[in-house]
Amino acid sequence: MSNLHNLFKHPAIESFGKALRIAVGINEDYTSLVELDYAERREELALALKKFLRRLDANARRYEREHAGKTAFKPDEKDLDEVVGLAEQYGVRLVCAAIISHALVRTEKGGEES
Amino acid sequence: MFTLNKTGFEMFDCFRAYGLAFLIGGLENNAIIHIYDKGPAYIVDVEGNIPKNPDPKIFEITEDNAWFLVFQTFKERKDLKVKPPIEDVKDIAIQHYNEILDMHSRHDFIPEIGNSVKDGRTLYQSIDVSAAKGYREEKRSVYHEGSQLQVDKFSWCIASIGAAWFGVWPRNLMRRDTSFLVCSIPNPKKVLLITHREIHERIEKQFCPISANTAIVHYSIKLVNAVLGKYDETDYDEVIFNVMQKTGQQPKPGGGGRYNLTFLKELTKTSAGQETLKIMDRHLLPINPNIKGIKQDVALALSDFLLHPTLDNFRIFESLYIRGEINKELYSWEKLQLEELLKYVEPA
Repeated sequence: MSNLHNLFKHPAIESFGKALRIAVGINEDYTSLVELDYAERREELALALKKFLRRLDANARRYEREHAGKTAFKPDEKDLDEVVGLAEQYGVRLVCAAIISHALVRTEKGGEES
Repeated sequence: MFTLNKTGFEMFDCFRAYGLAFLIGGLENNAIIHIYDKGPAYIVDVEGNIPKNPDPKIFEITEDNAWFLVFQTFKERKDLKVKPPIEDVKDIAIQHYNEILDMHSRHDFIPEIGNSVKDGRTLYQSIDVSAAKGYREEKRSVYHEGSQLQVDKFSWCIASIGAAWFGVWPRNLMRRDTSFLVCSIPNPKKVLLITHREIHERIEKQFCPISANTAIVHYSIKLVNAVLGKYDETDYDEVIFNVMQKTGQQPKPGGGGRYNLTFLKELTKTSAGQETLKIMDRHLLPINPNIKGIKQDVALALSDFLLHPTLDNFRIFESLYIRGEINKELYSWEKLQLEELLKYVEPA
């Protein structure tokens, strides 16, 4: 089993992957995709994640404002810590590849994403 | 039991094995014939009676064979003193049938290959691209065409039969607007001849024509899909391929090699993996040569990844695919199917 496959199944990666899928598919946030795609070093990944979360947060607030009572999906702080830990363990390129892989995947049936 | 010692000309060797087996079995499959790759030699194992004469129908040009393609560079002229090659193959096979069987029943027979072989025949590049003129010689400073390679007529005869009946020539690469030709053959790790013929006939000979890589990978996917779950008695481990570049004259040699099927065979072990292969076959490797844009890029990236499943190649594929998804030109993956592909990405 490859490292990429193990990472793909990791809950924190799944969480960030789902967020990226929403960002690209719904919010048209292609900048975050490109930044993650090109991140090679840990500092670059940290910067890419920081910007990605900031954009995601802005879009989430707008969504919640427009759809009263609904909560937008966001990875939590624990997920962020784990992704950073995984990047140290497996390398930045592998972690980015795993997150982007989730963005290729179809939304699970019945799963409402926003 | 017949032994075909390998010479190093991989495609020629493989064609000899299929050719000898088919020469014995004929169109009617008169005996149960297995072909095995045993490393330094191919073994053709025959159960039942060996026919006394070869089946003359195997030398007829029909839709089921590629005699025309194997000898397409031969130009018939009135003043020509040599026989057309198909007739030559037929005469050698019929007149020297027992001799061919006898020499291959010995374990020490090795084909004679060289620039000049007594009563030898030219080894066509359609039988093995490494035999092409000028492929093996240095031609610095002085221009010359290079020399032909000759081989003993018995080995040439059975290799020609193998190439004509079992060489895989994609039909859509015969179009004028494609710039290359590919010929491939699955290496018989363990093959029952009658089953191989069925598989060979079942596979539609239309492969992704974007590049030689896409065509080879597409054929390999079709091959593992065709074998899947149906033929226990048949096992292919590699696809041997030759690539030729089309020119205004004869096609020129464009390289060759072997593609190991382990990765694709691993994918067939799960239902998600089988679905992944079907998606690649139907949607990601288009057979239309006019396909352009992101679909073309994805097909190229996918074939590179399947040939070398490295992280770098996966990232290129992933990056292009997501752009295709954004443009609504490609569908999203099912999670399980993509997961199956990720299992085989080699660590960086």
